[in-house]
Amino acid sequence: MSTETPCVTVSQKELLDLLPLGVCIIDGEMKVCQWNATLVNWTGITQESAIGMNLVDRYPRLSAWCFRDRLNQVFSTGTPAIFSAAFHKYFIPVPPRQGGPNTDMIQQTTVRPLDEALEHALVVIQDVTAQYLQMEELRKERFRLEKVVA
Amino acid sequence: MCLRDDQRDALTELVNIGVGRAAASLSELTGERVELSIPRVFLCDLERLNDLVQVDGEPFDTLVFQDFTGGLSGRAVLAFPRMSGLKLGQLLGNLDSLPNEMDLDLSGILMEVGNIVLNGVLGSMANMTGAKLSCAVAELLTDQDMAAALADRMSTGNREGRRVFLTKVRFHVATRDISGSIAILFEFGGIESLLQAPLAGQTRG
Repeated sequence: MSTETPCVTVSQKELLDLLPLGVCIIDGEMKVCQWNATLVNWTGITQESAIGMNLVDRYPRLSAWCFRDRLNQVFSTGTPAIFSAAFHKYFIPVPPRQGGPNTDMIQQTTVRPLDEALEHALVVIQDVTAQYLQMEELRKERFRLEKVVA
Repeated sequence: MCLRDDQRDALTELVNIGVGRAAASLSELTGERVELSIPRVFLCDLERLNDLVQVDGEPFDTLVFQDFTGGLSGRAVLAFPRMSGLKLGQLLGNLDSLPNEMDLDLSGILMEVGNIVLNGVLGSMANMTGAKLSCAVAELLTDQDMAAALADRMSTGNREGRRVFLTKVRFHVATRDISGSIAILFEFGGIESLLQAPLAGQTRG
């Protein structure tokens, strides 16, 4: 009797759409090749509109040196880039989803090469807003308690 | 295996180029003048690593590590004593007070700083050897033994006789000095490739 586990075939697009992370694939000219369902949900940009879109043109903030130079390095040297929430707050702006009307989504983002030829890169955006809001509340509480103790 | 003077000089220059680029990136990122200096590089046995990097008995147990494969394979680590890591995070993140724990903000800051510094060094090594590297995303470990973190995912479990490329690195930010260490454990003769590269460069030059 065969004990082999049946292999489930899922397309790359279906796999990306299942992820609870914002994921897109870009080429060396920053053009979007894939845009997953989570990003559609976050940004309101449909997959059809996103394909072929220049990410830097659409989000001019990414043309700043601290983003653009490091994105270029991903394609030139193959080294991944981390864009932390602490330094950047977000990679692409997403309207508030929690924490009040003025709380833009806070994001931790990694960009890494997708292939050996360095022709495409995978951008993975994690929503860390809840953790940051919680951290802020804890800091306020600690500050309040320190004042009480003092 | 010991480093000859010419090998040591070439490797020191290689690392200085890499951290120089990283310092420029960090300066732009933070808006602060950040300088990184590498006084010296050397090789040591993995078993001696923890003893060599300790300062005043304080272990270097706040680690950002990045695995790499391709023409050279191994693991690179940027390490700090815990308090130094917190101070560096406070300075670069422009935080008002010195935090007393590695929270989400500080973790993110150190991971990005480690990513920038290690990319600089690994990029420099790849340029020197002509190797194509594929790097994993940087990860942060705290309260971890540096030697164990280096050897942890290496293909052979036996730590004896494993040579580590080691250098101290000094971060100078806003009149403060923070000391860290960069250590790289190579697999499959990576050290030999790296040591041959400076000689090849001199021959071509």
